[in-house]
Amino acid sequence: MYDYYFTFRSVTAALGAARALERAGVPSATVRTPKELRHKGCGYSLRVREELLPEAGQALEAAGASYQKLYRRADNGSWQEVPA
Amino acid sequence: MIYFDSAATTFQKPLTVQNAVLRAMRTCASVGRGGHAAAMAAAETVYQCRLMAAELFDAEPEQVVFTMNATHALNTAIFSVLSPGARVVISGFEHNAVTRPLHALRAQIGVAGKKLFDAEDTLRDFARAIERKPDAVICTHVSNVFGYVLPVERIAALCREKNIPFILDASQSAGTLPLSLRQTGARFIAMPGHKGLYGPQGTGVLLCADGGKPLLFGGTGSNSEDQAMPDFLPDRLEAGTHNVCGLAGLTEGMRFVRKQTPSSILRHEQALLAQVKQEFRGQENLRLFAGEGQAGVLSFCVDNVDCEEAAQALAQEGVAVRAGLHCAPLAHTSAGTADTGTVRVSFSAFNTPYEVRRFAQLCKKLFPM
Repeated sequence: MYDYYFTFRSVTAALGAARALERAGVPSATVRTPKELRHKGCGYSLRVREELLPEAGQALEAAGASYQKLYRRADNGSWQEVPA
Repeated sequence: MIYFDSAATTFQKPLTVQNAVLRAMRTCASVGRGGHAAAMAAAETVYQCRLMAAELFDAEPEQVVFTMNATHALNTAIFSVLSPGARVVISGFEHNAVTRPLHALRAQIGVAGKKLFDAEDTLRDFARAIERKPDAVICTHVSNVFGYVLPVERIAALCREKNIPFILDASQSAGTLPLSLRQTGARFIAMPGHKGLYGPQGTGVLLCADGGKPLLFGGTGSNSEDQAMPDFLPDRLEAGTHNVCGLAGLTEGMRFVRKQTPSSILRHEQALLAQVKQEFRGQENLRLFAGEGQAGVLSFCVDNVDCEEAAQALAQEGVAVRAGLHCAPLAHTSAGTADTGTVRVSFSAFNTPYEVRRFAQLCKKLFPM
């Protein structure tokens, strides 16, 4: 089972996206972006469980909430970028 | 105390505002500075305020920038749009929060619309001035001295036609008159949080159509490895720690306004203003500055009494009003009161007809004909 991380440029953007997921009934956690995923330093991400990824993607798109990148975290802790 | 100085700041705040400030002080740390519970509580608190402002003023949450006050917001807007020596058109009723930054920029200032309570004259004057293609137009929505409501929607439309950046000073209108960032097409709309929005002092809002130049540089909790300020809103214009407790209060202030509705608050204030006019009828030593469509602000002069002395006499009787030039010497020049100043009364949702009656009785006692 994987966790997926949508990264955002600011906490404002992340919280806006979290609201969109909440409205769509998709649980997520707003967390600091892990160091390995940072683009230019600090940022925030939404962590979503694998089985909810399709609904999460649709809800963000419907809300016009643009994330920077999407990553998958494997059980061994490695990261893989998921193409849009 | 009878508090009639809400054009400076609304002194009486809803209890929900006070409770929210206290709650934030107990639960919130800094926005964007961590992932722990207190940092995230702060982030949620500030985001809630952003969301509320965006809904109230028809903007996107990321277009809502928090400032210390309206002056800070106006300075950010003015320094974003204008370069030194730029040509700008302003109304004859602008506050020093507009004129002082323009003087600091050595801007070439054209003044349009100097006649009180004459919207058509104001509009004609602006139309003529805009034909000369200034670098920007800045206009107050409501005169902080006289309550004159300027025709800003139509001035904004003229600016849109000519593609001239328009900055709206909504210091006296936010919370009582309709305001839409989207519909006006304004580049910026500046407002305080502590007046008609019933938030705490030290809060202000700048609505930004698209970007802006920072006045302050520093930490934003984003793009930390980059020494340039972020190129996205709101972070670009929000360096340093937010006034989280103040913004928690501002959220509740805006919730109060939304519940009461801006139009009903305006009607209430206008009814009190009409009552003042009625109470002062026949009091020929009092000169009222009143006109059509006036917002809840009224200036007056007392024959042969210095305005500061008149205000002081009222203060000693427990009535809070403001006298002098109200940080708006240009407005007094336009109205012909630059030498004398005026006494100003300004209302909020918390004032009552009883207070107006008591105020009128005191005026008649203190300033007999």
